Amino acid sequence: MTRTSCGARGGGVRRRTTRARWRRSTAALICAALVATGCTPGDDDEPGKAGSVDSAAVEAVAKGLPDDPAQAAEQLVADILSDDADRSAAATAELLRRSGHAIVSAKGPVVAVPDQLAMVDAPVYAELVPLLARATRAGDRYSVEEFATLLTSVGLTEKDPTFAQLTAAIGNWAKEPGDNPVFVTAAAGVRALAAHRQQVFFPGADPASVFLDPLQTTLLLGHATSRFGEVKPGAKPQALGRPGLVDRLLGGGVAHADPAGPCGEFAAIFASPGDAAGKAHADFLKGELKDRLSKEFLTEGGKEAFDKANEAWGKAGAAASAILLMLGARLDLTADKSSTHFKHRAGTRDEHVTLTATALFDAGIALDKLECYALAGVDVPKPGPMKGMTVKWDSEQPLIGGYQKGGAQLLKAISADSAKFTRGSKTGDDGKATLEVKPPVEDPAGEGEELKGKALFIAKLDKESFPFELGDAYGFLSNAVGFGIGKTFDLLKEVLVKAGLPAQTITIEVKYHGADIILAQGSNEVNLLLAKLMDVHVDLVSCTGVAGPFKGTAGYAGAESSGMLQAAGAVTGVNVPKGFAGQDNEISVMTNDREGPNPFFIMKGEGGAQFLDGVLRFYPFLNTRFEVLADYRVGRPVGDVEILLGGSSFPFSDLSWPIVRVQEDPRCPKVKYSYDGL
Amino acid sequence: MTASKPHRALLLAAGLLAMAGLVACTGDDEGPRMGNRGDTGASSAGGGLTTFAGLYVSADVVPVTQTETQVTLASARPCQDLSKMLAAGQWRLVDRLTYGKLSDEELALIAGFGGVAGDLLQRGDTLVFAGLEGGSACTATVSTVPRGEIKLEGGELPGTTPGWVATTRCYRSKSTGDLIVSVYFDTDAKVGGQGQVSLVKSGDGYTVDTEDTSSITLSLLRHKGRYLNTMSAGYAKMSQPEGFVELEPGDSFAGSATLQEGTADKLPAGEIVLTGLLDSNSYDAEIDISLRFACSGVVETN
Repeated sequence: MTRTSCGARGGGVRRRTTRARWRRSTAALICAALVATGCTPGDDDEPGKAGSVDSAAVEAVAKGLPDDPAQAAEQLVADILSDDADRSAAATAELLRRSGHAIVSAKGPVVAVPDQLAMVDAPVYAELVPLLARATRAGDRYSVEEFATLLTSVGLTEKDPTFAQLTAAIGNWAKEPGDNPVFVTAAAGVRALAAHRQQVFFPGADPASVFLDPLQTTLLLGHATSRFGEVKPGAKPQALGRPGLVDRLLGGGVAHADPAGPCGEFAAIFASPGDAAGKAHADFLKGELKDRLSKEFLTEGGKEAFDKANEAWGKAGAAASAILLMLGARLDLTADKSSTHFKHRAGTRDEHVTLTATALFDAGIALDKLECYALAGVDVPKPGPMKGMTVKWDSEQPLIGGYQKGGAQLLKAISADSAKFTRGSKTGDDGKATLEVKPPVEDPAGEGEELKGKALFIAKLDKESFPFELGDAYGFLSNAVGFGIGKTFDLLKEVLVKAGLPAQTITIEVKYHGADIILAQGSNEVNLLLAKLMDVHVDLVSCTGVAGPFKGTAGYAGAESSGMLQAAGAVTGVNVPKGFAGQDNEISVMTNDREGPNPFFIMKGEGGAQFLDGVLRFYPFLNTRFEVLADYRVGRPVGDVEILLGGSSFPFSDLSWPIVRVQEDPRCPKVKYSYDGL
Repeated sequence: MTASKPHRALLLAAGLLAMAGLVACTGDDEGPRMGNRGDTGASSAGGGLTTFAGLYVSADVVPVTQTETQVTLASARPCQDLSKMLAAGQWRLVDRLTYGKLSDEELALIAGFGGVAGDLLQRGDTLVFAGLEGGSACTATVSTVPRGEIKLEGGELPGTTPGWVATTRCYRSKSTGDLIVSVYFDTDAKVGGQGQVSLVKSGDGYTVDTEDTSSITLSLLRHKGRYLNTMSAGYAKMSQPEGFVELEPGDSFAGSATLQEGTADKLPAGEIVLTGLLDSNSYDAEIDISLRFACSGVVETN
């Protein structure tokens, strides 16, 4: 067995400082955890510094947390996502612990023990916790669809759960009175992590904009698949106690709680080590995610899809651990320029942008091999660039109106690189893969206002790529509580490649001349009980996006009554101008791209009283539905416009209409875009 | 079970009565649909709302007004969507009122006398009511709901019992200062109800308008589950739920309103006591009711 050095090692040139810091910290953690091996910290190794997850750091984070488990989870999530890397790692460990994940060292000793209930088959390696915290803060992601595939891959479901089933289960998980704090903590933590990204898990969410970070994935996978056992009252993490002098001199460290050796120490935390999962009292399991998932499936007639939950036991714990290890596979994504402009003539390359993805492995672990538990026997890859990995590319770009067919993207791959979106590109010896993208050509060039858009590019290590060797494992034989899924990791590999590896993104600003046409149009009659206002309307257009100015007209076409209009107005509080011919006023509204309400004046009523006003409201990311306009133009809603009567919404007529982005309008310049042959 | 038509007629009649007085609302700075005027609120750093921690909304839902007790959220989502979103954060859905397939006109009339669809949500000991209005662009007005003792006495009513009262709307006349308060309530004794009461300004306080008793609408429902869910089932079937009774002021009707100090000119809060009410079906025992209310926002009317 390779003895871990407790001194920090130097990293590579590229990320030397960071890696050294992480290595030192994890070495400190391991030193704290591995007192059993007789390892003692070196002189330059100070536990508690630079992101380490030792007992003191965890205790510091846990101190002063609210009694309510959900509130405590929210506070921990705030710490996890804070700028303090040390605190983030400690908070990650504490959230995992409170959620039922024991924290164990790769060499055996248990670092942190959950209260009351613990997952029997999903302890988390302490050495990987800083990596998990780092990846979570970095925004690494799995789509909900990928997670669904993962559940099927580990055998929990026979077919992938739908987005609606999974999000409904997460959104409603562990909220009932009496639910076990372990589940309340995990559920609240998962939801709070999403909320920090302004994401909410519910069936109406946009699947393209809601994702799971690595910590959410770990928590959800564990809770969806694992079994829980009652923790032995008073169970203490062995690593927290330091060995006595005699132990140190003898090199034996603390006495192991289980005769199976250091890898058996985890089993000793349970009240019934021989049958840990079998003894958990049903009352303790109130609020389990599995129950919630089951309910969601039942509501959609999919019970059969959940019948094999028992098969997932063991596999998922191993998968979760391997996912954590895979977080060491990093993609750095850079671009040679952060901003570009549409071409004014074909054939130029100055406007092209070259994206470079660099695949590295940096698990931040001062270990060569994981010796206990689910990944026992797995060699930890050496830090450095990863050659021969496949990088898949993707992009998310707004569909700006006014583009010709084929020109709907701000940036697209040059012809020579177009296959990289479908087949990907291989990394070289330096771990790098590139993608060159180009903007379209304006015709006529420079016509109209200069507008801005943003193109998001996503680089992802292909799911067939796998960053570490999967040799035969010996965990199956050495594991006291039945870890291991067999003598080889073939099945685990199958699971992991389906789960895929995290992605990284970069945003490029793209400027162009032309028009971004936004229409705010609508009309309706207003019934004032005793009379009607005919055709109350608004017709505004902006050629420069939602920032405006919006120009056009608004008013009403006249009134229909029996001389009762003024009386009707008096009753309803709407002071209609005298004379029933109607009126149109010229309108110009600047919104400056502001969300929320943008009020504008239309006209006053009788005696200068408030009569017609309007309000423009914009909502980000509302571009997934279509509206067909009266003239059969198709628009994408971006907000709504409302006409107010007497300063208020009028409850008896619909005076609210969608604001839409359209491709052309006679009031805006017409510019065409096409890509050149490069 | 009463047929659907009389129920609709009741709604229409009540709505029309309320309409003349309520349509004239101009609403200056606050109120359920005042998103066009109010200051834009902010989400907390944690992605939730600063007013109600753990009530999560996505980036396309905009808090347009926010006070200590109320937040108004504008969205371009249908109400069904927004409702599910609000219940998917750290708050738990306790009860929900929906109006089934009522037409827009009927919904507008119901709104006229304080009726609003919405969700009762709970976190810890805190309750909020999220009123949901609008079609494809739903606005949610989320307000705190106090729990306390509710007095329901007379006949077979349970007496004083714990419960909650959601004050769904408060209208205040600019000229007279008179107040119209609309509430939903439910009790642990499985008797809930809703109503609207006119309060006449009197000095620094208010009295119940006993002159014009037509301005008082009050109903009770003895149910087996929760009040809002049971009413929703009734609306879905377009028939009154079993155990539903309307109350009318009897000959000995009297009422009083006590406001908490300092709330009269701001966000009125206090207690309304009504005695001498009669079940409009049987007219037998007199019924006394005592409800606490708390306006989270006030619509100023002409």
